[in-house]
Amino acid sequence: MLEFMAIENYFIGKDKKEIFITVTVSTHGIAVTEIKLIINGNIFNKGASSNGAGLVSKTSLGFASQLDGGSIKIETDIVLTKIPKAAWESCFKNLQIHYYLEGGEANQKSPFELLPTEKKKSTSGETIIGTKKINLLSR
Amino acid sequence: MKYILILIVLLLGTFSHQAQNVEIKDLKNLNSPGFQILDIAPSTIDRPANPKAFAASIMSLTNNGTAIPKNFALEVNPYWYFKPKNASVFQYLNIKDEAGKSNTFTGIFNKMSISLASVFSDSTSGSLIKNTNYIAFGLKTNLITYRNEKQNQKLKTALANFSERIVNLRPNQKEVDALDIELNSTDNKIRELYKKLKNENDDIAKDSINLEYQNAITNRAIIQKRIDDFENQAPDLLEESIKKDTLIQNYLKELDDLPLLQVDLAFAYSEAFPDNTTKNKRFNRSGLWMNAALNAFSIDKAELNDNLAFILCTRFISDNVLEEGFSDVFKRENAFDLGFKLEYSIKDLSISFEYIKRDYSDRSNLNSERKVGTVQYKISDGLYVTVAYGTNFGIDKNLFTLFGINYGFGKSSLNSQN
Repeated sequence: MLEFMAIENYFIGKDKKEIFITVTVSTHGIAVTEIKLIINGNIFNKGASSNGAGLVSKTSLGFASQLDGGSIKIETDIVLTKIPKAAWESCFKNLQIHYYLEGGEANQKSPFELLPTEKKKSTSGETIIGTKKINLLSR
Repeated sequence: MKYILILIVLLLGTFSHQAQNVEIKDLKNLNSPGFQILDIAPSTIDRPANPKAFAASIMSLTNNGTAIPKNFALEVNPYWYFKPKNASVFQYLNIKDEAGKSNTFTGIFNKMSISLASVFSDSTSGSLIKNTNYIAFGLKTNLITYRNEKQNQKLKTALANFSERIVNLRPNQKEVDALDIELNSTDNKIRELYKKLKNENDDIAKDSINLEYQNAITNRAIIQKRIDDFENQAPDLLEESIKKDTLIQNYLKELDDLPLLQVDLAFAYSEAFPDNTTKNKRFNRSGLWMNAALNAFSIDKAELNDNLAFILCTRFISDNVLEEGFSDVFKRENAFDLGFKLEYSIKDLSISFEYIKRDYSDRSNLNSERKVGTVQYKISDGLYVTVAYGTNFGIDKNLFTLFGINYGFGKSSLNSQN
């Protein structure tokens, strides 16, 4: 049960409230974010950034009543080609991604943050991928 | 002197881990203010550019511990060592963001660099005196980087195209998607079994549920491990795909477009150490200057990737000038430099000419000019040939010649011709 409990959960509540997500990325690299909703044996693309900054403005994930048991996977690819090579390591260390979820139960953790174990880099350090998974639950 | 030594130690100590990663290409044209104040940089007027995070050229830093370090260069960009809160590619490339906010002035902090340079002069040439070690400290920043609406739009489009394309290059998407679905189903099953287990009172039924529950947890760990394996190799695979993808490489190249206007501000301070000892050290020169570059002209940007830049330079200098007829009597004089540089670059070749006039406020007999032409060719990524020829500052005709492979400073020679 311990391993299961380590996953981050967002409690969506039981009413018909709409759940929203906003993603912000702090990096000087080129960042591209994609949000996927995994539920009932399917994957739905819920939005992607299109500006190179990785930002996904407030996007609806659906209504709480339809999201119980689902999970969202937010993948951000960061390319540091335009940044001086000697700064790649600093960019990896200093990368910040915030995930704001709205519409669920009150007084929950906000925002969720990208944890150190959730970011991986290429051997050269030029490419970084941050992957966040959050379970959507009602209780 | 002690402050300079403390600064060297601090810079080396703080950034020594970065020094191990310095590549030859990071040393290309160390046109740092520290070199420019001594008039020995390949180019006195340089086009503003993003500074390297850390660049170093250490030729004989220790001298076996017997003298002041000489012939070295360090340049750091401290911004990279802080954690920015709202950093974005728009700020770094000075593009107007989606909210319409201009990022014209964001370079003040993120492009600030600190440099330290030492040059030991073994012959008298220009303002440099024989057997003297010159140590200079410099600070440079970008005040303005302005892109017009057309340039902003072009770069935004390149970023949008990049974003769209990279999604298709993500490795093993089908496999990972299938595993994510399996993981989600298993998580829901574990949750259900946990609820059942909590509510069941019959021990036999409880054992059976518990067994199923434990199996589901084991299964989950296996799925997670497979996902982790894919995720661990994903950055390398994605990078490989990016390097091979012509479209995405073209979008990245478009981001190299020069801004219409760039203005840099720099300050440098130097001291001279005759015979490389602190005994007779003296103030050498300090200066504050501004370079403004206009990149407005090209013959055929799309086909030739060419650019003609006009760069204007103004510089105030406080100089410690050798008194005529003496070998060790100096007097402070103020001077003003005004000059320009014309630089035409086409693909991997750049040809430039710079002219600067130096006027002393009280001693017009010291007034002089610098006229240097430079040709630089990029052989490959990180390998450059630089050839410079002309006359340097000084009341005598000081021939300035430089031939360097790889980077501008290390192989330079400074010859005096009377």
